[in-house]
Amino acid sequence: MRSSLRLLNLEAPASQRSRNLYVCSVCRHEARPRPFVARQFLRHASDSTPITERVRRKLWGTDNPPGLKDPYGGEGVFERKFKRGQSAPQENEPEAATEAAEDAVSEDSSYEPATTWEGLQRVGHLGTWSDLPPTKADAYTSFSLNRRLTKPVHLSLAAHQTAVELSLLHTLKKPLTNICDVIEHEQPVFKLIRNCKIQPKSSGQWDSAVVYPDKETEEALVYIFEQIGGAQEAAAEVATEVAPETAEDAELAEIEAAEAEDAEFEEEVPTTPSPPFFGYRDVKDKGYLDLSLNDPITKFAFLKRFSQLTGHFFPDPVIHQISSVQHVMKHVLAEQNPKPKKLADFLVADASLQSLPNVKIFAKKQKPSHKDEELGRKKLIDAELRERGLV
Amino acid sequence: MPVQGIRTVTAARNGVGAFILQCKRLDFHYCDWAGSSRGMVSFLKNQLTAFAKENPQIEIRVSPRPHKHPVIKGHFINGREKAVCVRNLEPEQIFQKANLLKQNSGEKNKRTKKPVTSINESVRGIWSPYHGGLKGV
Amino acid sequence: MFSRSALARAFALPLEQAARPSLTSTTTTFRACLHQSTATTSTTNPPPAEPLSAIPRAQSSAPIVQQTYNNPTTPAPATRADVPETKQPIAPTFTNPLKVSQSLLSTLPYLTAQKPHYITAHLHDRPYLLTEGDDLRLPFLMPNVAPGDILRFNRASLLGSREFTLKGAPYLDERLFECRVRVLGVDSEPLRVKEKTKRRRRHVQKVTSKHRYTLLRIMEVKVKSVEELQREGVVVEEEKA
Repeated sequence: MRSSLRLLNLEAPASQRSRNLYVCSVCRHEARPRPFVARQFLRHASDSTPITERVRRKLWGTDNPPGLKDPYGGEGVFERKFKRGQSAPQENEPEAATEAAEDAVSEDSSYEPATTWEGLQRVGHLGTWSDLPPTKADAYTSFSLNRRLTKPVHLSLAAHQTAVELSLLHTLKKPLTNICDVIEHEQPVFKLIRNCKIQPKSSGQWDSAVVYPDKETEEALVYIFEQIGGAQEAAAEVATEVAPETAEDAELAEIEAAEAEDAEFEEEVPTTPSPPFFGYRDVKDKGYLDLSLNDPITKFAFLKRFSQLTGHFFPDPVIHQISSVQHVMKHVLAEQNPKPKKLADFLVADASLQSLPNVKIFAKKQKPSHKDEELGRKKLIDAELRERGLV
Repeated sequence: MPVQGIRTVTAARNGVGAFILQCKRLDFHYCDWAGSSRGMVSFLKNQLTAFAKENPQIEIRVSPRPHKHPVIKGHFINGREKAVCVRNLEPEQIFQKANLLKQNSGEKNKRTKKPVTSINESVRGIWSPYHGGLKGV
Repeated sequence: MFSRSALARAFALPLEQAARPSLTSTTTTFRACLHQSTATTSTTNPPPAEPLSAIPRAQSSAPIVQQTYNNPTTPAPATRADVPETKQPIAPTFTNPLKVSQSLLSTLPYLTAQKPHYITAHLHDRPYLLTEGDDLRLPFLMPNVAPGDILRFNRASLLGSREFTLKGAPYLDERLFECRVRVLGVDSEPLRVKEKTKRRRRHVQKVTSKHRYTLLRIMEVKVKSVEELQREGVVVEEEKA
């Protein structure tokens, strides 16, 4: 081994050590980045004096030998380099502390967060982000529904609602995606929407496709949708105004009873007690299926609103293929019961194949043991193996 | 009691009276994952029903054989079996292979020169020099 | 002309038929009569072509036997029950009845009675010597047949038993016999590899071939008896003096 390495100062200097905390030497050495030195030099790690010094003392026979402290002419190249590497982080620490202190100071006075990195000494957070208390922005709320609606009735209700809303906005000439600001309608408003029918004039046009049950509903809905995008509160107010007019207490009570019976929803979502679409279970007309989605803006608005209501996600290729509301429903319903991935499942599900007496379908690989079983010799083989103690 | 030879009874010859198809069973093996089974999977999905309906006398077994190429295996009434690998074949080609196994006799492929094979005795008897026309020398 | 075996058997007959006295009187004429193609030998023979050669309908029919004839008098074994009645093969229609010489009619019972029969059936002008139960591997793949089908061979040049032979000139009428075969399946040969080389070229081209053949089994070889022929309306020609 080279002498410069052997003479390297293996001990951490005393100044580096924390004074108040006792750390055993093993831990200390484990913590230090270890140079490629043989383990034997760590033997006397507990001593503060280096081995060269100890040898010198031994030679002279005194604790204070004369001559140079280091007879080999100072520190070697490696030693110096190693020392510098160790001291660097030490210097940084107090700096960081001061900076933190500055932070605390600046928070009190007029602190202005920088918008560009220019003029900043470092970019990023000074402390660790995990130390900070949670802020408002940290809480995540999903755009779409947290759960996926799976029942076909709910899906068609959602599609119908979306269709009515969008065609209303179409007729009002308002930006279509504004409707997404309203996460959920009030129950009376929803009822109004549900009572509307959709009859596309020609080849799935959206303009004035809505057929209102009566004049009152039309006025109310138009008024509500005029507010959307502008003031949310107004819509809510109108909703409360309309409520006593249209709400039929008997029906509501009936629905509530149905809700109570239907414990499914409660189990599924214990946090949100209200069932989707206020427990309505039927769609009044099928006209909305004929609406076309060829216009990209309309398509986007429809899919956005629909996925907000139902929690279904549409991948890009599917979005590309969709050209009418019918397609959307087909895709969503197909997602509910996906095709079996295994061929055996498919074949077993095939009724015409199952009815044939000469066809047998196995889901597992057929092995020689299956043949033994089929021929009736499996028991014999098993018994013989047992007799000989092989099983 | 003296030893007696067993009298020969007429050998069973399939087709002289009743006829049984030589192929008694077809095994279709496929792999769910591998691409070489794509044609086979499609065949099993779409054409197997028709094929099985057409050949009620053949037992058809479908079983997976993971990580292997798809195979059709024919079992014949003479106890032999023949396997045909159908990797990367189209469903139409697989149908042809299944038909090939269905029609096959199950015998080992042999080259024969003579078209007729008979186990009957000669109808007109063996030629004898002592009978029949005597040639004047 | 007499074939050698026929002559030999003609001579041998009296010896064998010592046990069967009923036949002795007719032996010589019988032999001669059966060989109708040998017109030069005896004057009692009718002209060769007339009585036994196939009538125009049969002759004009192609020599292939791909269409299966369902004989109306003896229904074919019902193996293809799945084939509807309308799709069953059509029985051949003949314009005029079968003509048979008086001598043939008188000697035919001997041939009919002697049981194992052989037949030289022609298919694509190739003769196959067949007996009942034989395996026949055709040297080609017959189209449009399925395993289990029954074919009927309608062209034969020879039809015989141990001692008697009916010769056609050149073919027998198809109404005189029934030869049915069953299609067993398709057989194939092992792969043939033919190495082809050109001169001064170190390249060997390998040409492969694997032919497929149709397997048949002879179900029955039957000579019709006189009664059957009469039921079918045979016309007996008077022999010329």
